[in-house]
Amino acid sequence: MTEREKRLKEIQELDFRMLDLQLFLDTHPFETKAVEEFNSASKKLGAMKTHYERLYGPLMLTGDNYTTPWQWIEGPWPWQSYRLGKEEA
Amino acid sequence: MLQYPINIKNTNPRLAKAIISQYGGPDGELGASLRYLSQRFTMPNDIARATLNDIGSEASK
Repeated sequence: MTEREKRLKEIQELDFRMLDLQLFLDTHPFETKAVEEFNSASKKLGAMKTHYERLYGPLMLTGDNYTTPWQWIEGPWPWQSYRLGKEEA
Repeated sequence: MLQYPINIKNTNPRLAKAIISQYGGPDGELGASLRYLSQRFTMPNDIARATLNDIGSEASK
């Protein structure tokens, strides 16, 4: 697995953890520990995403620092191999 | 009619049935997602509304 794939997998795992907490909290709104864990996971995920985007370009279009050329269209996209060169993707 | 012809060498009707049932059908998740997202607007309490919203949003992804 490339370094990029490893970082992306960590982001996916943390994102999934947050989704789990979100659904749990929807039906258990008074669980303070879960709220606290959600907050700290959210903070960590934000940092991980910012770092990933700085290295590899946008994940979701939520930043405000995009430059020309518009990097969003640049490959590889998630279903393509990260081992391909950008031009091939 | 397909725009581009495909030649399937080994058909797998059991797999095809499983895939199609996930895309559509009465137990398909896309259909369920749309039902949840439609019904969240008339939920009588916070928990039901949030649950339908959040689970409906996930199913379509």
